[in-house]
Amino acid sequence: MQKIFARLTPITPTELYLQRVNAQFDAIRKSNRGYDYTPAQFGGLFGQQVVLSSSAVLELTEFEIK
Amino acid sequence: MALPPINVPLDQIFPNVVDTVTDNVVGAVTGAVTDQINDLTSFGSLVEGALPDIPALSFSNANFNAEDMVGERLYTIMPRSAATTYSGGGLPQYSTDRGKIASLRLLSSNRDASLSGRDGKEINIDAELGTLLDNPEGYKNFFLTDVAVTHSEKLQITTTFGDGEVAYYFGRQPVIFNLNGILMDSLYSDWFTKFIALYQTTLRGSQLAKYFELVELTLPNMRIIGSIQGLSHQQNSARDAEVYFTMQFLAKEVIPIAIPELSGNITSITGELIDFSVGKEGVGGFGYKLATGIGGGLLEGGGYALGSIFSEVRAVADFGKEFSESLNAFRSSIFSPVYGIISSITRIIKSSTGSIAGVIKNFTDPVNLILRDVMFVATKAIAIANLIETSVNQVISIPDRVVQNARNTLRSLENAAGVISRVPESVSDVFKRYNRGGRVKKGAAILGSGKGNKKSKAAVLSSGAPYTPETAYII
Repeated sequence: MQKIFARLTPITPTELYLQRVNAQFDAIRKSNRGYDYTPAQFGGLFGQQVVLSSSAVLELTEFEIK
Repeated sequence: MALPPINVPLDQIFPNVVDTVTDNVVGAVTGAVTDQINDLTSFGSLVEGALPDIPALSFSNANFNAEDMVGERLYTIMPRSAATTYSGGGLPQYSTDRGKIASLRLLSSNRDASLSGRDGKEINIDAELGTLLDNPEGYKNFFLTDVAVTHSEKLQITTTFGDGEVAYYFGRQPVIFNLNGILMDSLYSDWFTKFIALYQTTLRGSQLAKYFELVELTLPNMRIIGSIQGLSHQQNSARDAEVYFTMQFLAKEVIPIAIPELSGNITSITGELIDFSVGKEGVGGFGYKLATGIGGGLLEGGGYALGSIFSEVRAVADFGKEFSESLNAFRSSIFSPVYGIISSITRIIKSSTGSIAGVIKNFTDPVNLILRDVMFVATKAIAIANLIETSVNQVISIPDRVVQNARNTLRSLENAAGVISRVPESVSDVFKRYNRGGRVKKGAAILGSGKGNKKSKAAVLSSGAPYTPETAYII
């Protein structure tokens, strides 16, 4: 079962914070169900700085492959 | 909250209705009966006092008394720096640092003698000497990253006849701390050269002995008094502004610092519950509002508000009892407490999944697993993530292979989940990508069917009209 779902999201500071929080909770959820979990990284800390300062819109691809 | 009376005959609860019904068996609904029926729906007159309004039951709005939640403790492991204190009208004031950093002080019996005759060659260290001697916080312009020490005894084992031996203990071996750290060598932080000058003139053992001084190093969990035996440092061309150093510190005295007695309480808790049943779409959803107040949660006097955690809710008497029974299982653990969340989490999750024991186990036993899980990132998928993340930097164009490789690689994973971010392609990017793949010819808005394919464009276009230069630019 494959779920690959992409959406465009404007990356505001709030959005970035929520993505980080989402990563934490999803890591617990997914690994409890046996998945290997990769959180969104946005190019690391420097990448996040660039993304925030340029008010970028990113395409976030969420995937879940069984 | 008062409960309605039980085991009371119906005609005593609703006397008027029952009488009316028996008297008017075949009667139509009269106004009097309608009034009694209306009374049925409002229980206010039946119970002592007015019932509070109970909102519609939903997983994200369970009925908890804030005061009851104060007694619930979430056992977890917390570093010393988490015992933050609050002030400022009950609003949480969090510091984001990791607590005190290591500091050095010079312990001297004669301050003037210590200050005189110390001349760093070409480096002025008067201010640093002043800090070392006078500042109670100590000298902090260095980063300690590792502390290692071995304690051992002076031991002589004498072999004798028979099974056994004679052990002579002569006191302790010298205690030498190996400290690793980083010194900044930057335009605005001249730590490195100052530290070298201080070492040469002041901090090394021979200078300390000459001036009858000692050095005190304060770590978050202990104070060490002694002398510095040696210093080595190394610099690498990969990092221009940092110098790594190692120090050997011969300790005369090692004084552990006790964990402070924690006190304080929460008097008001407001906000919204964490709701694990919320669907994944929309990170702005209710379930993702995390508390900024999680953590030390301890106040020196007064109360504070845990913002954004719990809504104002009321207790239902039985809930508290159920929680303390389930919490007894892990209440005897060694972890230190953080107020308030576990009961609401377990209540919500039990309602939706049916099992509390598994949930509690997931949160507390063992905590290390949870901590590891939170930080665990699949090594298999990380290569893909790196591949995609570089596209953040490639705002002009995204290589075609990157997009295709990502899709293929994602599909090849097993038991993987996650989120990958990339810069979205603009329309022109898409066209460039298609042009490279031969699907779009540059300069003409006509679909091709791929490189090397001899099919006519007309066959590709749905209209079937023959291709002519005049119609080349018409889609």
